[in-house]
Amino acid sequence: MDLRGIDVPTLSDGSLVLRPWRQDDAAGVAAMCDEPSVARYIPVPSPYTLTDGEEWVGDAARKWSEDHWAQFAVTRSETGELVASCGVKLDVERQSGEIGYLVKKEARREGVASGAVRLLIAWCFDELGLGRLQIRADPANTASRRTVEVCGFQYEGLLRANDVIRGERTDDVVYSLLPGDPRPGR
Amino acid sequence: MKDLGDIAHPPILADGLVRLRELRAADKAAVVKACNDGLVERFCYRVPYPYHENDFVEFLAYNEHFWATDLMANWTVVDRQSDELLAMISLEVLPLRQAGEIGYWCAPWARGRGVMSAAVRLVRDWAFDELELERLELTTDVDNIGSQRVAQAAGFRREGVLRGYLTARERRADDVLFAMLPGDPREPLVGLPDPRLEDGRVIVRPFEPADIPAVRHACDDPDVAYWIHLVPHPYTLADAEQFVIESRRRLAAGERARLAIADAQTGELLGSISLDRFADRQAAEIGYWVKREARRRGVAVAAARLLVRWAFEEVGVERLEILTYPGNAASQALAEKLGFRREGLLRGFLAVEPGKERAGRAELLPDGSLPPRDDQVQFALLKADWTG
Repeated sequence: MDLRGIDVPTLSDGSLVLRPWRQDDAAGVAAMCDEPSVARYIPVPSPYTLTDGEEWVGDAARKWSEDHWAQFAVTRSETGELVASCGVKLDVERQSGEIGYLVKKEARREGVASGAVRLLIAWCFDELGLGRLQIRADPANTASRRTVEVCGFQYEGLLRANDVIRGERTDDVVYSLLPGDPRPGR
Repeated sequence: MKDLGDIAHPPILADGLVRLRELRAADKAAVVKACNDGLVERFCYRVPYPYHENDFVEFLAYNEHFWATDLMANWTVVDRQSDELLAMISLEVLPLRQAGEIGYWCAPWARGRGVMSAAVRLVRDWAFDELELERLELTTDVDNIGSQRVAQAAGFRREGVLRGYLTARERRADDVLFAMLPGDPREPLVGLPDPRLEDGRVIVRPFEPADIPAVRHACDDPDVAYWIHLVPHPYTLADAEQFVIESRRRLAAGERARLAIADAQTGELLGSISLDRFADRQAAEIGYWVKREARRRGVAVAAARLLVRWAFEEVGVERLEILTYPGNAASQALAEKLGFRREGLLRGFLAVEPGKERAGRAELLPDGSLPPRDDQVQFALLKADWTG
């Protein structure tokens, strides 16, 4: 898989737009992430400041070029309003990727997460030709588990004490999707 | 996790059997020989194949900086007495998660002696006790039964199968993920006890790849296809291969023992008998088929008696079940002969298999029509009632 010359793209389904982060997104990121329900399952700083937001958007280009980690701002097509953040970390050697996302509190229960994940799936399988996608979630994060199951991901197992979030060890459940798996639509 | 800056290079580790030391130029011949082995080629896709002396020279140079630049500790495993090279093992520290990943290969001349498990245990203990890592992982190909046994012998627990995890020389491979936490008991994890059962007439043993043609012949029989759930007809060599592969994987995983029944004198494959565990109930279900030419000779009864004893005495089951279609009189007679008691009719227990006749598979509804799903008759034997 040759990623040279490939930029983080803009992806859209008519309702949501996934696009690269811009410097002027920093305040929106800070507002979105400075929220206990976001910090609960995601290793973001808590509290989350404007400086944290500036660091996040400022580091996005390096994350792609050095770590093959594509990160996207998720916005509404109509208004451009920032509603979520998502990304996929590519493993070039294994030709696989791990998807992660968080949704602004006020934009939940609208299908934003599944919409973003579906756009990422299409990019990863149909454009990049990856052989496997993976998502991890806290076992207690039922909303996220429902999202990934709705997108067709299959449960593979429980990883004990797999991750550390702000100093505390947490379990993960891991799900995968392969190119040949059914991809339930909307 | 400890501050790894204090550790200049990985230490020598040893027990009574093996010594883990740094790679040396003099190891070249042994490493080249080991890495050209078929199993290393098949399961260690990162090792170049064919493996040349230059590959070793590159690896030796790279190894000098492995720890300093990549937090990758690499050891050669040698015999404690003779310094003969036996295996290689590595630990990659993943600082973000305070975790480590273990990888290894065992030279063909050193297999089957507990060498690899000993090495894994030494690395495990160093990782937990000295580095204070919070989690250790290792992955093995889903068909690499030997490596799965090594992981289990070192106390690692299966967490799941990662589908298509690795690209292994032009194909996608499924991997079993094993993991261990510092607080886990550092004792071997036993899946199913080794099932090799015999009574002088029949042998019940794990399936081997060499059984594939005989499985195909036995299952390509309308009776087997009719009475056994999920056996397709016609039955192809690919079906037989999948059957044997799945049997070996599930046995290694300790979930299900689907075993071969062979003639004790001739070794000829006669059938298959399986034990499916329901671990949370300390119960298990027995299923079996016998090839057409071997029926009416007491093969199924003999194999079942061996399996029942194994299940109660070694696997630790308290209750055994046999399920049969309502029309399968032969199977029901066998269950009763073994001392199982008929418990009832489980209505609609199985989905209808498209393309198969339904006669004998479901009791008709009061209006004479067929129900939407097939029934099963349930028999059970309790350990408490088993007379041995």
